[in-house]
Amino acid sequence: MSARKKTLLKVIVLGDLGVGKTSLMQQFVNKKFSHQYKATIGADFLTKDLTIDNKTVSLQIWDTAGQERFQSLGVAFYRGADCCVLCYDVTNEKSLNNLSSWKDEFLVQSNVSNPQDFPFIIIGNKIDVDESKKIPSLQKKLLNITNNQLGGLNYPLFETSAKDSINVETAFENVARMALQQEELNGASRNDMNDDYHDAINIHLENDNSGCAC
Amino acid sequence: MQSVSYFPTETHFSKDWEDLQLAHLHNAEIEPAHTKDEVILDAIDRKDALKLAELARQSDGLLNAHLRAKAWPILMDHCHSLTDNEGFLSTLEVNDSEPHKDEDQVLLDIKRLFTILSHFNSFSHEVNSSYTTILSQEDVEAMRKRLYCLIVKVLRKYPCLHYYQGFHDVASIALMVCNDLEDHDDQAFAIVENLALYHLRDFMNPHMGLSINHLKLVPLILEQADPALFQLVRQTSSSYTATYGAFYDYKFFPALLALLTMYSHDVLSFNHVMRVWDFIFSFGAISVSAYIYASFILHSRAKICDELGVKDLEELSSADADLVHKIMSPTFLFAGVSEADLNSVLDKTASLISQWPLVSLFDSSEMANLWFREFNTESVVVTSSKFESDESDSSSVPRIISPSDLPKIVDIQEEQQTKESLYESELFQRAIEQDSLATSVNSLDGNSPSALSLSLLTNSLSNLTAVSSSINSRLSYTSSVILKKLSIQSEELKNNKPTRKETALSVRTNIYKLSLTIGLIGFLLHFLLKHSDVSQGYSSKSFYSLVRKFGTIFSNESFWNNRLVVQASKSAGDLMSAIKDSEFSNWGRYLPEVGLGSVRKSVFALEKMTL
Ligand SMILES: Nc1nc2c(ncn2[C@@H]2O[C@H](COP(=O)(O)OP(=O)(O)OP(=O)(O)O)[C@@H](O)[C@H]2O)c(=O)[nH]1
Ligand SMILES: [Mg+2]
Repeated sequence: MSARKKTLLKVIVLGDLGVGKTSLMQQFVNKKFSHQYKATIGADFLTKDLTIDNKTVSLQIWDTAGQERFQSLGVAFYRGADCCVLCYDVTNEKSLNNLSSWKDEFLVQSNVSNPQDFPFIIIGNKIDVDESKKIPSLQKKLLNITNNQLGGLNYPLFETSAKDSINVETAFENVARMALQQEELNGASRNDMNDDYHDAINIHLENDNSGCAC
Repeated sequence: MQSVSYFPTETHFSKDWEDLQLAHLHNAEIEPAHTKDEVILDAIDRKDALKLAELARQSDGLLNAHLRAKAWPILMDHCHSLTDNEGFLSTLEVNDSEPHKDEDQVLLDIKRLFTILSHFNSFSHEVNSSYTTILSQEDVEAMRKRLYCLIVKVLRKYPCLHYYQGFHDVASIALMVCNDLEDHDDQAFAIVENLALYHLRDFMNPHMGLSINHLKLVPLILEQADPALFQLVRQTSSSYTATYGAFYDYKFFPALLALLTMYSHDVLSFNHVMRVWDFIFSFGAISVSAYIYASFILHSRAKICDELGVKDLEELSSADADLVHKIMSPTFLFAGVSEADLNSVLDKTASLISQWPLVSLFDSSEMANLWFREFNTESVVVTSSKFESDESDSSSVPRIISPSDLPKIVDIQEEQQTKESLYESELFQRAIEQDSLATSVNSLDGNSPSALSLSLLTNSLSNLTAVSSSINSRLSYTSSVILKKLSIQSEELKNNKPTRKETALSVRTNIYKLSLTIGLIGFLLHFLLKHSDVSQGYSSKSFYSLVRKFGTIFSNESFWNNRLVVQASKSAGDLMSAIKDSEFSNWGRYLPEVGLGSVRKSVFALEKMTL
């Protein structure tokens, strides 16, 4: 219980490999960019405290792997998420088209109680690159995707550059705000439901040492 | 490399030195006081793998890259000799063979692999190292190109192997270690090829489950070595929490990065990686990786307790799963590891191996026995991890894999893995049905379905779908088994002429199971769509037949035989009409929500009616 009291917000960052998930996180949390981030394998998180509407929250941001073969592992990390960030690369059309399947994958594997109105946010990264390299008629395609494929839901959309630190702060502040709302919603229903699932897991060391019999 | 004499170079000493060497030649019993690198060189010359293994486990391992480049192939050959190595390299140019499907991915990953540079910098500070040149940007580019060729060569020679992110890290270490040799690229190829065939083969299978099996070794070892730490890991795992303790799958994800890359992915410094590889090769077994990981956890016990805010794990009453993931992950465990730390971790590893060798782990756990002796007999954990002791017995000559054998082995492994995951998902479903579902239904006895049980249900449901979603084959089979089981149970209940109370219970049981089924179907359909090409006639046909199949089951009144159920089947119908209404291309995206949404809707509807 106590772990939840200080308003810990869990955020999952998803998207194709190489769209810049690790770079975005590093830019936001550590204020630095380098071309040295290696491909992410498995998942790990960074935490950053920030103040949202006079409330201090601790944002726990999970960086995940983009390679397809690691996608099935999400079940181990997604549970209890308060917001999900879907990333694409403005120079890579495939990463844009994959947004909706990342969303699906998240909903299938996570344990969210309100799949219909769970907060998602879309980040298009690498806007610093040359205009010529960007996806042709990006806005139209984007509109198409947010209107149709994502179930007609309009998620907040940010265009960022992790390299030049454009819009990264703003995007994550929004993430935090949305996560906070979700967490408050969840918190309320949790009290209602008396559901202890999301809270710290009880450890029974003395009576349960026999090992799993199955 | 210049061999540096241990003795001063005065002439009268020189004479003694020659005598000693002569004595050594005549009588091997008398060991002259050689420096360690001389001893290693000598063992390399004599191809004495046992001696090298012993030296590799000592506190400074095989000393430097130069010696390692020569010693590792001997250590590896000792355990698993390779066949027609030269054949491929001399007759088959890389350019002549079919490109491998993963080559683009390799290129992408290597572009991001700047670590080569940092590794080379650490090289130049190494004592006795001949790598003193500072690399220019061009040199780094050249290294990258060589690394790309190295990986592509392996992939093209064995097209049935799949590239995984992390394999490039492994290959980069081999490339750097061999850099000083004349035939460096060929030597690096030999090392990487051997690794791919005998140590990393499981990771290069299309089925991710084989990699995950390696992760299971870590909790298995902890279970023996430190029950309290094991409890911490188990009780914060997703399988355990989802089934309320009825089922633990041993999937220890924090170790994924370290095991897949053999500790080479920014996990440890380059010198430490080489030490770890010395140690692993000295056993000729990749499963040593898992022992090392467990040993790191044991070594960090105090740090772990600190982070959890307790003096000892016994004081701990609860723990946050995410926090436990963090403190079991490399970034936390390996932060600031010193030479001394690594030595004590490796010493501890050696004693873990001798105390609880794989055989004893498999014997002690029914599940481990199942994973490695029943289902995955071709896993490298089994085939290349016998832990040959110093008195290696020649009767267990390791099997040699030729390029033509490999596809068969890979196929068998994939098939075995599919069977295992099906079996596992059944265990999991049974755990959910029998445990959490049963308790939630039983706790309802006499009361209306409470919000608590609703949340229990949705939890189990989405965890069930989540876990099962990693299986992408024969899902419809599994679901029809579930449906069949449900129908049999409901028949039994009916035949027993239940009392009023029992009827109420049975109705509720059915409601819950029905809801569960709806959700399950939702995700099954979703999955079918996602994993087959929607634009193809085949999948739409199978999709329709599936819909029809479920449709008949739900509309079959005699099956459910209760007016309450009509309401529930209506929501099943909602699901179907939602499917029909939505555009074809959007089905796959819409379904999971429909599935979960309908469950909730149906349960609420039923709740209202029973009140
Ligand atoms: N020009 C530019 N390049 C970027 C930006 N963000 C990331 N990159 C580059 O894109 C590449 C991939 O970035 P990562 O952050 O590692 O990508 P990722 O999404 O974490 O990839 P995975 O871990 O494999 O899933 C790196 O070479 C980055 O330097 C950006 O804003 N602008
Ligand atoms: Mg990354």
